[in-house]
Amino acid sequence: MPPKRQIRVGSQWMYARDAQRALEEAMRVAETEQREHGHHVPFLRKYVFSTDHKWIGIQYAITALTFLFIGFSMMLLMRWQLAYPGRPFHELIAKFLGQANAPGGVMLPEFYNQLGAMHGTVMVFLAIVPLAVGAFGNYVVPLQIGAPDMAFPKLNMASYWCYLPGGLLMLSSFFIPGGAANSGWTSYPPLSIIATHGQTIWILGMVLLITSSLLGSVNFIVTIFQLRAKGLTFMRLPFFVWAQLVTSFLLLLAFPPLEAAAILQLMDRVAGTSFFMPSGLVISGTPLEIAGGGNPLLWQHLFWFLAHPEVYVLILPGMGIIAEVIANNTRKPLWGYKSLVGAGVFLGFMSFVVWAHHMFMTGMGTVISAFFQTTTMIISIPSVIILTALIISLWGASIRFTVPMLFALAFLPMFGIGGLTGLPLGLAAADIHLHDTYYVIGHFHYVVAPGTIFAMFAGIYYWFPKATGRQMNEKLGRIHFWLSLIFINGVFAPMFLQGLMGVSRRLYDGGAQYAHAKPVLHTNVWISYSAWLLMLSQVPFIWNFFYSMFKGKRVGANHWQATTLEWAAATAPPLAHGNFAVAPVVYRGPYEYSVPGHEASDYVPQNEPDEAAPPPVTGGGMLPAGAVAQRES
Amino acid sequence: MTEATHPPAHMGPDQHAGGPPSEPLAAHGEHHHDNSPEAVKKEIRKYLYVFYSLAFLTGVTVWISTFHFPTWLGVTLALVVALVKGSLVAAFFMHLISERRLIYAVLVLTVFFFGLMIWGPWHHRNNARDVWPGYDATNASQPAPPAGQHGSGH
Amino acid sequence: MTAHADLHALPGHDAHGDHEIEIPYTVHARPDTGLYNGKLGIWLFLASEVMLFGALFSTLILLRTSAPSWPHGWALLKIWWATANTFVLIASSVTVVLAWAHLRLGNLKKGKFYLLLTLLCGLIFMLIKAYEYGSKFSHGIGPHTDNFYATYFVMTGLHGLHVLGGMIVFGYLIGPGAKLWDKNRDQYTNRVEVTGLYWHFVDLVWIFLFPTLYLL
Repeated sequence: MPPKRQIRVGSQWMYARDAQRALEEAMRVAETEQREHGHHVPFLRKYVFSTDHKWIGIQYAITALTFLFIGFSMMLLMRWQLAYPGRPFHELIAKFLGQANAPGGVMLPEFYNQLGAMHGTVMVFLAIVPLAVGAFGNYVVPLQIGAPDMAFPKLNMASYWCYLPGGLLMLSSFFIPGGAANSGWTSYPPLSIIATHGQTIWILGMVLLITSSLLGSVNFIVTIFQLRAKGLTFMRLPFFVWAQLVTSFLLLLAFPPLEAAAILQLMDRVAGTSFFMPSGLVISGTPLEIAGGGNPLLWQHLFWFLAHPEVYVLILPGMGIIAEVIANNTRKPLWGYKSLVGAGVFLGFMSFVVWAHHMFMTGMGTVISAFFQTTTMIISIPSVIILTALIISLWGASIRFTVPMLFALAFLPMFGIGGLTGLPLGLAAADIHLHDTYYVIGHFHYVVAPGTIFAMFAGIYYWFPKATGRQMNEKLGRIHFWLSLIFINGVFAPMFLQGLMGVSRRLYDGGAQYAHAKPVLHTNVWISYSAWLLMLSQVPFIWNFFYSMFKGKRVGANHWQATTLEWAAATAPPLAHGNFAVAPVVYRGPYEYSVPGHEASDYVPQNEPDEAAPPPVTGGGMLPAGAVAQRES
Repeated sequence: MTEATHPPAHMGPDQHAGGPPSEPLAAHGEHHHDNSPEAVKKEIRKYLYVFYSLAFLTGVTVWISTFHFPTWLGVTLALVVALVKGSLVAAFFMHLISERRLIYAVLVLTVFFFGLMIWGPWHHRNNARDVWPGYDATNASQPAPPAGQHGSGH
Repeated sequence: MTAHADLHALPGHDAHGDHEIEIPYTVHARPDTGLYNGKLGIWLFLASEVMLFGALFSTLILLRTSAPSWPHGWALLKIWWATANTFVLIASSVTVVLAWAHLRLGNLKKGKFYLLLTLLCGLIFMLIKAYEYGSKFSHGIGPHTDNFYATYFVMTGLHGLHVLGGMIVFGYLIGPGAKLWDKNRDQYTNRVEVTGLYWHFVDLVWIFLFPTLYLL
């Protein structure tokens, strides 16, 4: 115990004991700050049950990328069966799959169906949406609008902790008797209701995932409306934030019908109701002991009422990322920002009015088919506006061909192919031929794989320096890009050919038993090799991702000389700490690149005040981007 | 997406120089509910009136149902009463009557999609019945029509 | 890019380990939207609930209109118990709004009293519901019986779960959640308002369920 006597510390007198304590405390704080960029938040609260949107975003990203890998691997297994029907797997893979799924190394048809259903479910609900919305939305949106965090941080945490168990539950169904869900990712009744127990697990998993999405969407909408920085009006929002806002509305209003439908299907399966079960069903010669009188098409309506908006949930955030990357690398304002925003909002609205174009084959009658055919043609207009605006943005630019920009440039034609091949499917007459063929598979994979997934890659390469303070290796990035671009087209382009020849999807042997598939059967081998090589092309990315996290080139807070607010925050903004040292103030639109008369640089950050204006009283707004909180270590 | 009273897009820098964004403006965002004792007591009276009306209307709807009207009339009357009751709850208990434009916008959007969701399956069934007379027969005890017509989705 | 020291890195800045980031507009309204975060949040949530119950109503309409015959609710269900339940739920709606009014007057005691009344109403509702269900189950009638009972059980069951959820929140607000009153009255009052909005919505759903299931 030090003696009780006063000493002078700085300008004030205090007891030595207090002074010593204060000093110790200050040193301890400084030390921890240096060590972990944060405070003494317990490990569990900081890294597991974190409420910080940045860490939740990273949690989402890592989990979703893992699911993406798993979903992709399932497809690689299926591609072997499709390329070489009935030929046994290599013994290592056969051992991994087990005797129950692949006796003698040959995949069972039932297991093929499980992989097919789970590939779709995993990719859509566990990989792409969580990556596009959960990861990028969480990490970037609050930073881009200058907010300290999401509006409801605890809800945000709950949202992740519904998603992860939901995903694990889904995957666990592979290990129960009868295996995972095997009625397709669309789970159409009556098949899904008489299916094995995996389907029940699928429904329970979906309920968790839907809850996660609902919590997330409420959080995003409130955050964007309520926590925008001062001066950040709606017409100054980066397009990415607009895209996330529209996406959140889609999730909010489209998911509940599927939740209701999932509950009804659960009741049909476990409580013996007949919501989706018509009367007089006979299975393997035995009439079903149910009340009957239900309507299987009701499921299709409720399912597609979600699943069509879901398509735009998949693509809109991708478009947002692409818009950011293009503006930054063309060093020009986006062409037609207002049209982009208008088209995005209209796209979101229309996406609710087109769902039954998935059901032209159900005998809806001509009136309703004509209605949905018309709305489907209308919805292609805003998509074209967005794509056109992004392409015109390239005009006359001196483009910086960075890795994110390469992915963004590839996105444009790839999404174009995906979108345009959708038109024949939206016309009832053409759809009769193309429905349920590989043409459909080719169409939506062009939208989602070289479309959305390329956008996700662009986003990862683009925001990696913000999240880690390090840049991913450019050379590896280019290798990753070019190989992926080549092989992904090798996978999906031949599918159009197969589909036009009438080869159905979901065939265990890839169409080998059908005469009409003979001329295109050899393309199955080609597609499979492309898919396996596509997997190999991801090796540079995976290596790059982890290597750069620890050993990548250190870069500044505003590595890309960008204008939007996330670049005004510190590099790798500290966790559990808010985002900005001083709340930023916004003075201008999001894409003020190459502004005439602005001599100092070719970009003006959103938070930089006009040169002529007197400096504001508080400092936040007047500091040049990147200078606010550049950390040295 | 509405913006009620947002500052104009081209705001001069001096208008917002200084101060964190929340402070200077927060004060006048507070007039939403009048918390003076007189105003609140008046509101309480209003709530009680709404309660009496709801109770009365509940009686009415039960009374109507005892007549066992033909379905179309019964449905119409029951829905009208329910709509009135629902509107009372929403307007006064949920004080939607004095709510912000943003909330209205969200609800209008929701109601539109709600209507669409009711209309879709129902209209499908009405249409399909004209094209395919066997549509409703799935409810009778004979075997279902060929299930091959049901395509799966994309 | 010049290297400035991060303000946070200065020793002594925010030395308290248990620090929560302050989120703007949790308590007071943002001027341009006129709303605090919780209120916008709950209305968005209710919008999604409209779609959830909407899908069930859509199901009911489709199944009923395409069924060759559909029983009348009044012939099979206990109308009088359901009418009583309607009164209970309406009463609970009024008590929760009174609780909010008294909290705005600064009277925690009365506020909590009315919250307790609301909770009790919820409990009575659930007990009556349990009795209704029980009397069906004891006759071997359940959701599997036919599509009338299937819709009845699913819709009232889901509604009942919502009542239960509301009761849990009220229990929290009366109990441990009430500590917030001393720290931040406005925030506690807001929480009651937001929970109230949810509760009214649950009431509103019942207002439509009651005639469609029992009276038609």
